[in-house]
Amino acid sequence: MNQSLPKPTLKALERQPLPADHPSANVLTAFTENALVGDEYRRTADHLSRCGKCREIVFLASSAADKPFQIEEQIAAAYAVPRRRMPRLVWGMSIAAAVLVAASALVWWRNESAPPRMQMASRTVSTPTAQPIERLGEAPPAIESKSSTELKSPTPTQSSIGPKPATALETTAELATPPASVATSQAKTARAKNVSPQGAKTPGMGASAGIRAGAIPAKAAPTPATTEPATIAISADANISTASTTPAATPHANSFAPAPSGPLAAASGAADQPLLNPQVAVRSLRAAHLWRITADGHLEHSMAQGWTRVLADQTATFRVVSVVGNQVWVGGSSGALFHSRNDGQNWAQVALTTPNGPETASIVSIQFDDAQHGTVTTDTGTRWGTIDGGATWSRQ
Amino acid sequence: MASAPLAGSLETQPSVAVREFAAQHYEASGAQQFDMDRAVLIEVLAEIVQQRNPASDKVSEQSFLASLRLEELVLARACALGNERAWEVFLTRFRATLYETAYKIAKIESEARSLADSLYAELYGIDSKGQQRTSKLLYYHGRGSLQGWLRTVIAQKYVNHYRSTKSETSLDAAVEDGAQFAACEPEVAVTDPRVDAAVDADLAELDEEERLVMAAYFLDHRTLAEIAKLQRVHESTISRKLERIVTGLRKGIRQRLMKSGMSSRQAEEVMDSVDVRDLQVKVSETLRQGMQKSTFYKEKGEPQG
Repeated sequence: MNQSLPKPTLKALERQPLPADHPSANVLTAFTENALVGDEYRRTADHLSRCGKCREIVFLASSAADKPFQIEEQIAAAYAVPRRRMPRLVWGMSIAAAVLVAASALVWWRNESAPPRMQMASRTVSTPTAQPIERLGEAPPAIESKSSTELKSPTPTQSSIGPKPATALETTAELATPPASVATSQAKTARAKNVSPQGAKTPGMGASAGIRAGAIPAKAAPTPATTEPATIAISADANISTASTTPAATPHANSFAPAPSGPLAAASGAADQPLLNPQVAVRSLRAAHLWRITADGHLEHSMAQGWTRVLADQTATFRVVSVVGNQVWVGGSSGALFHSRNDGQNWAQVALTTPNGPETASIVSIQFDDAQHGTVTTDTGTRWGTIDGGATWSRQ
Repeated sequence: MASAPLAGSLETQPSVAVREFAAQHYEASGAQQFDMDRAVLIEVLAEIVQQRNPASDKVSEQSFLASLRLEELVLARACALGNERAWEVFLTRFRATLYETAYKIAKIESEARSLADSLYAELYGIDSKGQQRTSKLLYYHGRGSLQGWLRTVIAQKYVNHYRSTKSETSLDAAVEDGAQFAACEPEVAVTDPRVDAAVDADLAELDEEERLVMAAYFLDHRTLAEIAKLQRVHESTISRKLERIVTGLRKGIRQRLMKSGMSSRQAEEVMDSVDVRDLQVKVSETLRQGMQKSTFYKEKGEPQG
């Protein structure tokens, strides 16, 4: 606004006659939520243009409806992590590798020049590296991410990370041992920030450090706590759904297996999934909520701080939640399928009925391409499809 | 419980549209789980329709009924009727939101807690005499979301409280502020009646939404972002809208004043030169324009020395 309002106009605005009756809280709410139409909207807008008190109420209520900034910031930070951290890791690993090569060369040179001191040197080198490697080897198997192909190959990873004598440092694969300490610190950083390392996704990392990409991050991403929720779904314009860690849960094209914790973990766990454009994701998250399924199969929802259990009265164990816009689908044991059209405010149970009776198998995957077209898969492999937003379902 | 009378409800004869709507949506509304039978739902809907517009036709009633948040309305009424399960659902869904909203509005934790607690008491319907419960949830009509309604009610309570205590100032604070020495507000000289007529005529040409935007921006000093959020548009849209309104107003008022016999310069002065501060700016600008050139400044081509 570059121009100022003519002063007589400002005074005329101030002296507008105050209306006698104020609209009710229902009408003001409907106005705030853009639910008024036609003459009622005009009447309310006219009242608000004259009544400072009602304007204040409407603006206060409107501003209180803000989504918390923390969620947006958290997601933005989570999406930004791979870009920000990888160059540092690459440099750190390169330097560590170079130092190790130099150290091994020194050991070799001492070994050549003074045979009795060689064994001492090898012990000195191997001792500090062996300890963290063994601890890393004991990482719980629950961290295995189903959607990351690199993380699925335990054999080469174990062999490259397992304790080795320092004299065996010959190939690039074996150079993975010293950087494991680097990876350990990386894992600590990741745990502190609720983020899993992203080394497997950056091609330059393996090339520059001479390390098998994915091997170290796979081991260096432990599950922080077993009580952490199994899955988190980030509601966005794009359809993102999550499945629980139950082995029967099949990773779907749209539902990825959970990573340890945090939205990034959920988002980055899908190595074969294109990562959402961070800007798009963050923008869409302004209107987004967070959903998750706890380890014991409950659905939880968060809009600000704290998680609230949703559908707490249901006995079903939920396995997967899927969000498309403001529509939320959640499925679980015994064919339990629930649908909400308004971000989880109201729920309706959806019955999948076969000629022999209702579906009793557990739902392990829900995929919606848009609000109308979706597929539900059970643990017995049965697929159900809808083309009308869930009004009718057909077995496929 | 199922056939309990609705506290505060009106004795209204339900219309055909209400009966049809209730029959069609009774099961989806979730009224059954709160032991609310169909007759009660019909009564609630009839009351709401009646309060909105008693003389509406069937089509408009149907569209109005379709716009209601039926499930939340049922939940609110079930809570008002004292259904325990409804209260469990309500607390699960709205308890955290209520405190969070109160904090966002009041900004002070103690005040927010007091605000939320007092609203809770009203929602639960604790009567000061302890005789009959009249829950505030009875006033929720499902026009918007229940959460939005709670926000509005909290904002209302806050504004009422703020306005009622705004004038309460301690004597010490008043002395510190120099209140006892406060000069009387100078009466602004009444301008030419032609100005008032021109301004009023131009303001009357604006629609309600434009007047609302202007009042929010110029009187309440709301930010573009706040107004844009309320209007559900981008703030640049509001900025352009304000620019357009102000330009149109200036142009319209000037034209009307010139038609009434003022010169263009007079019209501009009437619009802008009332404030003394503007005069100061103008004086300084005039002085700056009339300033002599620097002694050491040389024109191009002027001989050196």
